[in-house]
Amino acid sequence: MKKLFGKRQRIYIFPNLYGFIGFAMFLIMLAAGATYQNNLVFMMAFLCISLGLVVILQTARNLRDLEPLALYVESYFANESTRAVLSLTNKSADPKINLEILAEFSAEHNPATKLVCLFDVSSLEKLSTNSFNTDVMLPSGRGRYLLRRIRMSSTAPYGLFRAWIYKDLKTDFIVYPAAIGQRDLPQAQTALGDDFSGHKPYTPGDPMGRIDWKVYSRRKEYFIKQFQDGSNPRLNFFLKDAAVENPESHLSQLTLWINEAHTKQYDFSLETKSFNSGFGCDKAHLHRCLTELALWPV
Amino acid sequence: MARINPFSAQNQYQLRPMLFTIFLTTTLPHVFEIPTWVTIVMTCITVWSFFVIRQITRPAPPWLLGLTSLVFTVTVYAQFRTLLGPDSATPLLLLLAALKMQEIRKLRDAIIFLFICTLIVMYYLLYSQTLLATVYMIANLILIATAFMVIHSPPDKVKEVIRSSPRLVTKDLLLSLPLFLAFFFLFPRFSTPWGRYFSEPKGSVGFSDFVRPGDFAKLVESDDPAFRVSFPENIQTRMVARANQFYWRGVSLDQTDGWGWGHHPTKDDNLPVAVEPLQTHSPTNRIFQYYLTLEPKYDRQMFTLESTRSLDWVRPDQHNPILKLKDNVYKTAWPNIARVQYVGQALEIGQREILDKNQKQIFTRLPPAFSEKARELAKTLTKNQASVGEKVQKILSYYATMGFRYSLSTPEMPNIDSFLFEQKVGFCEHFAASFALLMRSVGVPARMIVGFQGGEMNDFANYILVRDKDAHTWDEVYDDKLGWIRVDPTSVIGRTRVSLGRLEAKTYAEHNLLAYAYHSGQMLFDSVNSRYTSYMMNYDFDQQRKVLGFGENPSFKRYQIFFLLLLAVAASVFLINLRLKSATRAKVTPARNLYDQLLLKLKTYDLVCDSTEGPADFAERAAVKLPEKSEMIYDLVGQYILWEYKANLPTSKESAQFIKKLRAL
Repeated sequence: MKKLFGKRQRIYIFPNLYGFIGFAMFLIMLAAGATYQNNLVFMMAFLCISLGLVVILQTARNLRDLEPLALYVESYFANESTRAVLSLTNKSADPKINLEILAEFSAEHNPATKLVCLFDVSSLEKLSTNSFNTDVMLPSGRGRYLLRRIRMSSTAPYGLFRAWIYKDLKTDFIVYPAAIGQRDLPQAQTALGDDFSGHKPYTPGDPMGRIDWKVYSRRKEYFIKQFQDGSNPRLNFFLKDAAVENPESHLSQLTLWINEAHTKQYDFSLETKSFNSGFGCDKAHLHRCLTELALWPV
Repeated sequence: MARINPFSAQNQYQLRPMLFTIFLTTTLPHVFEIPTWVTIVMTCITVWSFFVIRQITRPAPPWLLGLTSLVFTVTVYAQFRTLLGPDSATPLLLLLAALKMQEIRKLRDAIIFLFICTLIVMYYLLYSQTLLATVYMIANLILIATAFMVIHSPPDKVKEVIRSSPRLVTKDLLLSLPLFLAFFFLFPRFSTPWGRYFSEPKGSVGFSDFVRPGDFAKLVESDDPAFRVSFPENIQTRMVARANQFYWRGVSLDQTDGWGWGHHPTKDDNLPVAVEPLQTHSPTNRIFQYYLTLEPKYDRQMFTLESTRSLDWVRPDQHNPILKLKDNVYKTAWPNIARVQYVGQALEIGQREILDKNQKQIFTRLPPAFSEKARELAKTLTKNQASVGEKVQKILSYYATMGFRYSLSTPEMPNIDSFLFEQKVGFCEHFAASFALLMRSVGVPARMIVGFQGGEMNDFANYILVRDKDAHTWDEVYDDKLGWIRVDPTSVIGRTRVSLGRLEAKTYAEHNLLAYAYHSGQMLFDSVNSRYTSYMMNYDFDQQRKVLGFGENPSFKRYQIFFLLLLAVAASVFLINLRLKSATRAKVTPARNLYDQLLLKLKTYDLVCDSTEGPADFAERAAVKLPEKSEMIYDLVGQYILWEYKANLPTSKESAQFIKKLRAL
């Protein structure tokens, strides 16, 4: 794995509202010291401002030597929530507390579409690496989302200043089209096997040809005959240009079907003008097909 | 966007006791200085808050807190006619802090509460610049900063942070020390003339412009310091020898209602004092200076030796003018809310003042309803006595021989007859008031003086400490030949009272060594405290110039010192940052140091170790890429693993061998 970060990392610091109130208090002390020619009030003001300057450095210190090793966002359907995992290393000899880590993604084809993941890290021990999870609501726009930058910020330890630092990390994830549609899953083609292995209750979409009518005559319930060496039912999905009036809803319908087919463990394939996934039913195959749909140019 | 909120519900009951403690430590010193009603109300709210913290009762609803805050603000304003001065702002802040404690539910509430507490600490410093006040300020700053750290700690680690944060805050304060010193010594001192707008008149015990016998009772029971006086020349020995000259005049009372005495203001009262260098008249009447450091509790009053002819502030940037009133009495234009120091110039022997006929009339005036019995007594006593001195002696001998007693616990006496003919017991006010009235009854101009008498010499620092209990009243009568003469009728009765009794503290040793040691300790502390306070009070721009070695050089300007300050601050921040960086850096073991050198070497072969890659994996990868050097790589990495993971330290010989192999790689 290549080195992810440049050597120079600039930490930015700015007082928050309470920092400004604290500064106003310092000015009040200064004015009181001058008005009453009171050196003890001056002393208090100077102790406060000196401590304030140290607090600035301490706030920056809380962000120093922190490195996000990896960020993984699980690809999922648009408008649904998914899980993001951040792996963070503390390379310094003191623990870090109260970090807010903000990962900003934007759509590859439309940088204006943004997604933000926020991780609240309450503490990270010294010289350690830890993973942190958060739930993210995915946007409605399908496609590839690239991580633009990670912003790590903190107001610890005194809460008077906010320090932040930007980190670059290369990662992306896919937002699949929303899995919605009105139409039922098409009937799958069934390949017949030789050895009868048992029955299973009928569910809509099962091939009618496999219904065991003898069993029906006895129990008045539909059962499907299963054969041991028979392969899974097969579904072949086609995506054609300008085939439909509303391509987005067509993509959503296909996404729904592909997801259903995967759930039912059917062998399915997706064919477009330039892509043929072949048949499969595992998760990687599902991701390959859905990614094709997510990146389909409109 | 969601934010971490360490002030979560489950932590409130861990954080509130800490905030309650801060409230107590910041407000406690104020309790004796604020109006009684504020103390009572604040105590009630504090007790309620304590029960809230213990989860025995519920906090007040927000509308009630808001309404109460408004009522408090209006009441304080009604009492002080302002909310800006320290006397009015302090009780208001104390009440608001007490109320705020009830409604600390969120992080924001806690922070506002802590800021109010910071202001409460600051207001205390306006009244006191002593060593103890400094300790109070630093201790409370540590507590408040600790609270800031705790309320911003991870919610699941509050207990842990409460334990560790005082140490961390103290460390941060120590880190900030160079910055603080740079600021304190180099921040150009300036002053503003706004003090008068924030000062409120206060009625100090016994030092108002009207005194009725009995008013001093509270004051003379107090052991608190009133002022300290030092003499720059080596004159104090002689002055101490002349103990009876330590009469510190405060108020001159020239009007009487027949028992009480007051000051009749005139249009000349508000003339700023002219500071003129005095000329020595004769070798026997030398001019001497004294420096008086006055505690901030006597309103506008200033205290001077009898023969004082000139008065000026020690700090030239004091914006409160000194006014000279008639009868050689001095006041400031508006109340002193902080300690002040002034220098007086006095003659060893006072100059004679001449009164004209009209002035004599003022000082012999008695109300028409004045006691006939007292008049008759005075006339009878001074019958056949022509001179003022003889009349004085006759009346004084009346006190001495007619069974009068000196006592601090006296019954209430509504008029002079009650004192002279019935009770015959009193303290300085009773004797001074009645004596002046009797003198006026026989046509001798007389006035009553309120001030201090005596004091205690501090041998550790050569100054005289005058306390509240040294408050005293005496009289001045006018003689055509001698001018105003001081007469202290109390001295006839309570001789021990009118003395520098405290200067005789060394006699403690004869009676009780422990008491003497305790007393000496007290005086030593007071001398250290006094020096510290004096330094704190007088560290102004002139002092800054001296500290920096520019002395009286007039070309040295404020902007130059400001430039120096910026340089010092920049240097300090740089050094502190370096210190923090080195503390943050993870410590590298000697074995890791050697391994890092190996990694650097392999980098030249385009082999970069990933941060997540262990040494064994990296060695395997390196061996594949560099098969001809694989044996040496395995050897070096194996050696490192042995050191690092079996907690063995490489010996110097092993290190040398490692380096040798590394070069050969």
